[in-house]
Amino acid sequence: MKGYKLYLAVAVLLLLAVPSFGQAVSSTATTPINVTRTESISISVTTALPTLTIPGGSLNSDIQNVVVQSSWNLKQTRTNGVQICVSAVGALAGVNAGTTGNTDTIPVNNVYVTPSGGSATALGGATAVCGITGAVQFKNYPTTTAAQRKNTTGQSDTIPVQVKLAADVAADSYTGTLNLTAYSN
Amino acid sequence: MRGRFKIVAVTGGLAAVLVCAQSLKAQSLTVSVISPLPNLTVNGTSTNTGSMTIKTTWNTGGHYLGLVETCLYMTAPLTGTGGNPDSIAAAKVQITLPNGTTESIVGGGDCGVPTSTRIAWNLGVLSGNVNASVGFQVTGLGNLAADTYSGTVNVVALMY
Repeated sequence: MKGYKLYLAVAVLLLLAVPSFGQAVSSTATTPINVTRTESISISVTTALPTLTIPGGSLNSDIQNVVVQSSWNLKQTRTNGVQICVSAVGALAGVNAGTTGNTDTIPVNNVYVTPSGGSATALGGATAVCGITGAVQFKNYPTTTAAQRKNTTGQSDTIPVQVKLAADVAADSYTGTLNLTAYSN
Repeated sequence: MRGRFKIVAVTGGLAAVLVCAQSLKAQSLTVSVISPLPNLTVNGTSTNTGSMTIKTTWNTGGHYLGLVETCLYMTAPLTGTGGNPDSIAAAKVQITLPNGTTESIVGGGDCGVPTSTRIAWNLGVLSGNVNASVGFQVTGLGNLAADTYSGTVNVVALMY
């Protein structure tokens, strides 16, 4: 019984001697979190260019429209605008060339695009727009504000196209490809 | 009786000296990010996943046991550059804890920090350290402008 008292006394002393254990808080470490939304720009043809017809006795076709839809979401540093351009590579060759012996073609510079607010301009020039030599700029959308740099709802453009022959060609259907480009730098 | 009293007094005195000697050791608690979070890229309405590893080191200051919790928190949204008005709310930052559960980094408040989220809870014996890997993904994103959005993740630990 007396032994128990001894142990009890030691235990009480130990408990009383245990120092208080307060909260310890570390200093705060910081680390960055970075999230990137990559930029995008796209264009698609919503209404293809109808066939242009060159009436007999004329060198000029009628004027038809190609309709394109473009959208973009650009970095904040792109303040030079978004250009919508038309270009073509190579001449418009006769559909039946090689089978009927028609070797006539319609050169690219006989294809005209009328820029928004401008006058008809031939493709295939010497200058470069949209990073493409010979392209014609239809429109340049400003991107000087954050709202202008994020046009994800889409922008529709109706682009008039006409052929003005420099020299008459054989009666035939001539087929080529127009390239539509949305560009920002 | 007198002899027994001496035994008690001497024993108690030794115990007090021993415990007091232990109490002279300073408590310490540190956190560090040993593997930072890589940049996350938005794809649709959420980002890919990434992870960071956090090291918590403690010394109980002579106590045999201490409870150590490590927490993360953010105090501001992620913001873009230039005149970009878009931002990413901290609540959209989802973290996957070492136990596999996923929740917003904006939590109920642990480690004595409001809105923090506890990522690890350890029984600290004397001194030691533990690494915790936490997954990150940002979700629920809207039509953000193309940009890099930056924020800060804070790491803190509490021992008690």
